Amino acid sequence: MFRDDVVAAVVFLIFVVVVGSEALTYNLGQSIRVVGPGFFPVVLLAILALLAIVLLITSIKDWSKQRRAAWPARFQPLALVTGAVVAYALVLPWLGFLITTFLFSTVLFRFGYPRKWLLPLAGAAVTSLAAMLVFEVWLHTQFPPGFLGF
Amino acid sequence: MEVLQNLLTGLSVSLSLINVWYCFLGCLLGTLIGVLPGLGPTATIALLLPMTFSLPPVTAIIMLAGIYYGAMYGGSTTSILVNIPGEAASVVTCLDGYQMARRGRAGAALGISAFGSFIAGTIAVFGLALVAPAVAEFALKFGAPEYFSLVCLGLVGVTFLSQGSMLKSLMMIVLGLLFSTVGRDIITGEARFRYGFFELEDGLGFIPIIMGLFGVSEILLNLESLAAAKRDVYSQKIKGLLPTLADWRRSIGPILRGSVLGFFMGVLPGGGAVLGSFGSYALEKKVSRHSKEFGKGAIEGVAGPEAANNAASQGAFIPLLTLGIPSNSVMALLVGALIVHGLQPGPLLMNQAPDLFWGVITSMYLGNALLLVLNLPLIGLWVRMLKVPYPTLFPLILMFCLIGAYSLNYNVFDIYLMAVFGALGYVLRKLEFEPTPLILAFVLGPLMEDKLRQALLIYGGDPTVFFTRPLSAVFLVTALVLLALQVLPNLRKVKSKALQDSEPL
Repeated sequence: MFRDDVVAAVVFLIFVVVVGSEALTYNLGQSIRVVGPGFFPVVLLAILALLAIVLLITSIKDWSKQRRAAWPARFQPLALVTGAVVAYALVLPWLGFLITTFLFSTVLFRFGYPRKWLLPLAGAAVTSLAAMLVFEVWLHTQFPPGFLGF
Repeated sequence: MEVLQNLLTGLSVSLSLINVWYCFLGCLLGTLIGVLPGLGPTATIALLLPMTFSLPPVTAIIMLAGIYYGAMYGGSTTSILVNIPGEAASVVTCLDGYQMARRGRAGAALGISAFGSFIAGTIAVFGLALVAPAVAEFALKFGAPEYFSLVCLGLVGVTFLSQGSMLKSLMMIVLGLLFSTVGRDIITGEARFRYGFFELEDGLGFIPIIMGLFGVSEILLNLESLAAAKRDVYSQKIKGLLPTLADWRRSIGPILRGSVLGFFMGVLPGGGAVLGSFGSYALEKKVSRHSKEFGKGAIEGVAGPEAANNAASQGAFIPLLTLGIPSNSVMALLVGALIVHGLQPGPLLMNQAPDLFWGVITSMYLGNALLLVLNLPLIGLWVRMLKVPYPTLFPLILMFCLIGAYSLNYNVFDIYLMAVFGALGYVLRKLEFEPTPLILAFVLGPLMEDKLRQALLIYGGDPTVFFTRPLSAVFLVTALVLLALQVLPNLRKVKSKALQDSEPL
């Protein structure tokens, strides 16, 4: 058990409150026989709240025995990867598959080989061309063409 | 006789040129991706799933099954050569397989693992052909209460067999069920938890979730330990892949016992392959005349668990194809794939799509045979794949995830969803919340809600119906017993001791 479990339990409880306030706006049903769309989520949220409270109590009780999760000193990989994925989704409709994939791969390859430029650029060129051949040409996946038309 | 007839029907499907080709391609790609560091079978299938979208359903599922077996073989290869299990079920293969490799017997370890899996596959195919129709027929008698209770049992079974805390697994199950309620309600059509995004009307996409939870979060965890990831890849030339007569004499018993044990363990919900391989290792250690050699390179310790592992991964198809209930995350993915191809797994599948049902079953045998032909000559290639540095690898994996998430609906919203679930998966895994129960619950959620509401409607809103109908009661009581077993402190100790060895090496 982690000390962070206390935080996790609290986050789960906040989640229950936020989602629960939405779930309670749905019809719970006329009776137990004909239950509405809100019934199942509300029951689940109640169970989740109960489990989160148990986690909270047990983790506070065993506080001294617990350790912290091994969080990294820097969140660079997390920021880079999620950032790159979100950026990919943002520019894909504008730049098209080939250019977006090339830029995306260059950034990520460069992260792995920080002191070089040639390797990431060459790797990205090969990767994006191969991806286009496999997915667009062979498997007929339809990607947005972008303003340049490819 | 009927069994043979069914198997022949299946063979006529799976042996068609196109299906053999895609099964071969699946096995090849599965092994290729499966040997890459940090990619287990679930992530491998998730990555390669988009390649099957344009194929006919039978061919697609056969290819996915091929990918699955390939990835499992890949896991064994990394266990033996690098001491890194591709997934939990091959953890035990590391114990003796890696020791054999260190003593210069990597070839024999890889060879017996391939032959053992092939023999286990042969036995499991006949087991499947015998058992599956009976289970499907039995399942036809299930009403809504039975289905609801069976899903409960399946989900509790997952918490019982998962390695982490039961409380956290239960929380993951509830979260997964909640995620499954996003989108239109099946009965009233009302959109739930849409929060202004029209893309959420059809619910959260299965593919982006699985790509995020298993693909992206895995990359994040691996990148964190990039500096420490320098691995000691077996560098000597591998020779002598054919086990000697003495090897065979020592291995045949463990292979046969492992096959039977693994098959039955595979049918159980939740990590059946893990239980099969661990069970087989424990059994062989007990019955072997060479028990002192275990842990130091005993061939029985590779042959038994590898056979059990393979038989279990085939046994796991029984609950999937006959009940529509996946027993692990790979099977959950296959449910997703079947639904993408317009097929609903369950007891009716065998009658509605017999070509698919029997085709998939016989393709397992084909897959095993192909892997035997493929794996042994290509060992050199797999070893080279193992040496690909992670900084080169992860952009490619991420790109596959992106394309996979996008190409299901051709919508960038799914890419955002994948990013969110990637970050969520990373945080959850850091806090020791396992994503597997969440995925299983997400897949089973709609069935569970539907059957719950149906049962209440049909039986006049009487909630006791789940306990008064005998079969449903059996399922629920078993689920409660499994829960109680984990809560009672003495038994919890036994469970943690039993699973202690399964921590990744």
